[in-house]
Amino acid sequence: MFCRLEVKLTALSSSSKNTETAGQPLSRQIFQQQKRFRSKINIQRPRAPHYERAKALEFMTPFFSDPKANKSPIELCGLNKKYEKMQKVEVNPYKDFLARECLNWFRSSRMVGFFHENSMTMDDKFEFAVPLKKQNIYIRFYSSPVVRAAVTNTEYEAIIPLYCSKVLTVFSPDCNVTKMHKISRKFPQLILMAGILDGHLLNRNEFLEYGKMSLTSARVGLVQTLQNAGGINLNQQLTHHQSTLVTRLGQIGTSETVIEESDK
Amino acid sequence: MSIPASGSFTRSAGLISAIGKQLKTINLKPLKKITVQFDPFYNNIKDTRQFLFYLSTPKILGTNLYCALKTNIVCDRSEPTITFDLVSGDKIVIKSANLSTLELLQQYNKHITPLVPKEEEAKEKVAQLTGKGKKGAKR
Repeated sequence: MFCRLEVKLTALSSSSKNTETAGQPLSRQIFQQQKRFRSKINIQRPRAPHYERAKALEFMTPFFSDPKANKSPIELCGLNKKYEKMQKVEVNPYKDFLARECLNWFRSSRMVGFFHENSMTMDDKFEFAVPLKKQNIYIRFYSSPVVRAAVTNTEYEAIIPLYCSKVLTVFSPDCNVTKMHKISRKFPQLILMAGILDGHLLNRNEFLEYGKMSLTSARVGLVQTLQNAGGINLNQQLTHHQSTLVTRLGQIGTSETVIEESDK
Repeated sequence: MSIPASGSFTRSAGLISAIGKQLKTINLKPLKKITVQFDPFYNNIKDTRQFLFYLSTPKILGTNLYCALKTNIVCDRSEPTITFDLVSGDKIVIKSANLSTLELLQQYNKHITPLVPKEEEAKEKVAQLTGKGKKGAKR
């Protein structure tokens, strides 16, 4: 469109006459060279296309809606977006599963012990787990986010601060605090921090003390202390008249029967 | 006029790396006993427990087998304290409620690591050098 082809036909004119005379065929070569018609191509400011073509081009250009339209500068700020990303909580179905399992352990066990875990090999942990299992006590390792997910908005919410570092949790459907303490003493890497007994969160000393006590012996002790504190005297005073009445009536009854028998 | 070099040439390798660097220099030789006392329900207990964990690693406890590491669990909302009983009879108490793990390690290396007897250090160096020499001879 912008250039024209010029074809130059050049013959070997100088040697043509000689060759013709010699009776040999003429050898002619064609040289082609492209030449621009006037000037360079106008790339930087091309002329407007023809009206019909312009219409077609306009029709063909794609258009997209602006994603930033109707948004405030605060919403468009990059830092704000970063913060929002940080705030977003990743939903992981496996984490939910673990959390449900964890809460189930808490709900179904009478005794729960929380140990701070120092540097410890897996072999040692296994050696710790074996005697515990014989006593119907099971050890579990739950990370902080799992426990937080499990325990939030439940009665066990107060234990969340314990899980800020490495924690080994011990669950049991029975109340075997003394046995558990005896086994854990062999492993100085584990430090008992707190525990839950019958749904009550207790600190270390209370947990051990309450765990030592058996309910029947505690009841016997309570009865004894009450009796020692004037319980017997009070009981006698309260039932004095009733007991005398009963004895009198008994005496009368027995004497009457004796008389009747003697009459017969 | 030339401009003197200022600032760091490399970027920081991060917190874990910094903790690792501090842990390399920790030595329990000047100590007789370490007592870590904390309330597990206290607010800022994480770093103290982390510090306790780092001290309990076999590599660090191996630097002095006669040093006892004891833990005292309380429930009185008191702030966590770390007591270092020195062989010399002195005591160093660190109140660690507002200190991070790295800061605790730095404080240890600042106040207690310099108390390591120098003769032993020299002996260790000699032993290391001789060990290297033997390896070379084998080859």
